[in-house]
Amino acid sequence: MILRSAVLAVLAATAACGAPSVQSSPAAPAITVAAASDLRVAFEELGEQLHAETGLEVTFSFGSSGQLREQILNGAPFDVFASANVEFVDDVISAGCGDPATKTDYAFGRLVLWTPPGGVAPSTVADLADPSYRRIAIANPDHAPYGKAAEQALARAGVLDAVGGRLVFGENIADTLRIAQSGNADVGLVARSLTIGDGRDHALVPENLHDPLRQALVVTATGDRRAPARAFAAFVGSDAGRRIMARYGFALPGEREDPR
Amino acid sequence: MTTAVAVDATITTGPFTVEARFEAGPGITALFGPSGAGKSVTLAAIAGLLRPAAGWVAIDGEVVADTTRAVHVPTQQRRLGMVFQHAALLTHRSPLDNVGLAVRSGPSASRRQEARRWLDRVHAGHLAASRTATLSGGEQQRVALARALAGGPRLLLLDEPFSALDQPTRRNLRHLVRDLVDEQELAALVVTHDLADITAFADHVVLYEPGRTLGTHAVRRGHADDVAALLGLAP
Amino acid sequence: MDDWFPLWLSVRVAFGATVIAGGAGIGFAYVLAKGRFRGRGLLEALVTLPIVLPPTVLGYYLLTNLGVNSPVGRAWEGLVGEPLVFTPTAAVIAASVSALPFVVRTARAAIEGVDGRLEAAARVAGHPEWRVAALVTLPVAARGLTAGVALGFARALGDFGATVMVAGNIPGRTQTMPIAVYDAVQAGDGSTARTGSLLLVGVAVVVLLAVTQLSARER
Repeated sequence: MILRSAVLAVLAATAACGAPSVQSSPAAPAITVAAASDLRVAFEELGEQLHAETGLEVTFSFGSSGQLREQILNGAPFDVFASANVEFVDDVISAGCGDPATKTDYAFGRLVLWTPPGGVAPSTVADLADPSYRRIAIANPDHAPYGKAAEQALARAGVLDAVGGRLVFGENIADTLRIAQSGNADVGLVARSLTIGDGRDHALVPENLHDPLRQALVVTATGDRRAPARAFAAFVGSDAGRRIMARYGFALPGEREDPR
Repeated sequence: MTTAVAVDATITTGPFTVEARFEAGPGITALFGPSGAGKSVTLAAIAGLLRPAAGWVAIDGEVVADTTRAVHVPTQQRRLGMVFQHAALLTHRSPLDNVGLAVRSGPSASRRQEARRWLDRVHAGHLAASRTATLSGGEQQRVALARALAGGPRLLLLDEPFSALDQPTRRNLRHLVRDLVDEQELAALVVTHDLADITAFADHVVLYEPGRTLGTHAVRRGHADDVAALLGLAP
Repeated sequence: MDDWFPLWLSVRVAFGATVIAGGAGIGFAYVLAKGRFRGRGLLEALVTLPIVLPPTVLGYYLLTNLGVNSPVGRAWEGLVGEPLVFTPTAAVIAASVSALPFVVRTARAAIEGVDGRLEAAARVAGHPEWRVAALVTLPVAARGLTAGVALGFARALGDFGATVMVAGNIPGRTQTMPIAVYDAVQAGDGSTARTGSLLLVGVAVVVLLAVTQLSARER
């Protein structure tokens, strides 16, 4: 932590992040949003709805929150950073790349135990100790918030040592789901938001097994794209935005009970 | 006899070394000896394509290489003409272009004219616009000869120029080279291991044995027994 | 597949990279084939490095050396007004570096394969070295050089690792075809992934066939 703060202080001192001045034509305002992989389905719907209502063109670059943070610190021309983890948003802000006034908690992520159709579904995290789960996919805990949460859940359920050798890491949470879906893992600890569309029930990992996946966003735009970027951020927190987020299984700030 | 070229050098390439020592005047001097004796290597050193390990080379009285004084005149400035065993023509250029590229000065129209003149002189004018790759071996060597002469060389170097050709073609080309040397009052060194070359058109012969030169001898044209005597083949 | 931007971008990036890697690669190949100087081995190792380095390492070094905190990145931003990284230009640079060794190695073999007597004849005729190269060496090696450049194009078209690190994955701006395929896989969009992959395989096969043809007719 100390090291990281030091690094960030240096980055901030050297005005790390770039000031992209690509002029979007005023007729069709457009912004680019860097978003955590768990937001892919929900944000795409959200972007379409916003476009329909306001004409704002939103392009998404999805990746693991840690990777997106690195890209922003290296000058990537993103206008909004929607992280799966508030700490990465704080990093971006302390590096001088985000407007602190726009920092907003917009959702809490939830983990589910995803099994392929026909697989034996575990009902609790502790069930994963069963050696018949030969491969267990989680996101890389080093830079993906869902991976860190999955690791905590395994530890708090007391099975981390038992499953240690059977873990496989996805680059981000979407990649993790892909590993399980392609049959390369028997079970995956993945974001509920990505699995809601498959119409099947997957065991929810209790919130108390991991630190809250407090997802926050910040506006990183400069110049004339600051206004449309703020409009996007506001839309995520609006009633319409919250309805979409809730539909995809996110818990929302201010109503933190298990929504099922 | 004025000296067209003089060599006293040790020439090394890879593991191979030749001690070459001879002088040659105007006319045709054959470098004769077994394959691998170092004849072609000597030619390369005279052309400046190789640097002697020790010794010197002089062309027309000008020292073009001298290891003791660190003299090495680049090939480009030695004013030579050279013909290789396989003509070494550029197949992506016409015969006329191949010759034209060797004409040293003048605007391109006059260079073409000069090239044309040389092609005619070697009886290859009709090939000027042919596809170079389709020419026969003898035709290619005529073009190569025109190229070697077009730059106005002070010394002509011919490296086994006929060895890839059939006998009738060899005879024709020998006559051509002889005529050209006489007409232009040139000095020419011809590397060969064909006795017939010597008896047919050489004025002098430098004998080689593997790794060194043995000496220079005059030959009377048409007297095969001169050469045979030199080589100890005669009765 | 309903979005043709990645293919269009990939083709433009690959053409740009081919021009850069082709020019620089043939230059390096010539120097390596003809030059006798100290540090030649080191130069050869350096231009070959992108073949053996993990693309991520390559991408990391490019990001550090072209990024907003680097002298190059700052100079670029001062000149152009926007950062160099995470732009199509950065994708061109990444693809150029990845393609360079393929051009150099093929072109160098072609240049070394030129009959030395052709060059000797030009020298004897009085042409300085640069004209020997322009009139003889490079035209005679043309097939091999073309094969090298084609190989470089194919490599540039397919670059993923280095490109995604310095240019990012920004749809409509820096998302090239290989990155679009990756993104489609992540999104579970099998049809886009399949179409994109098939396109890339198709182009690669066509280019490699052409390279084989060029190399075969060399002899």
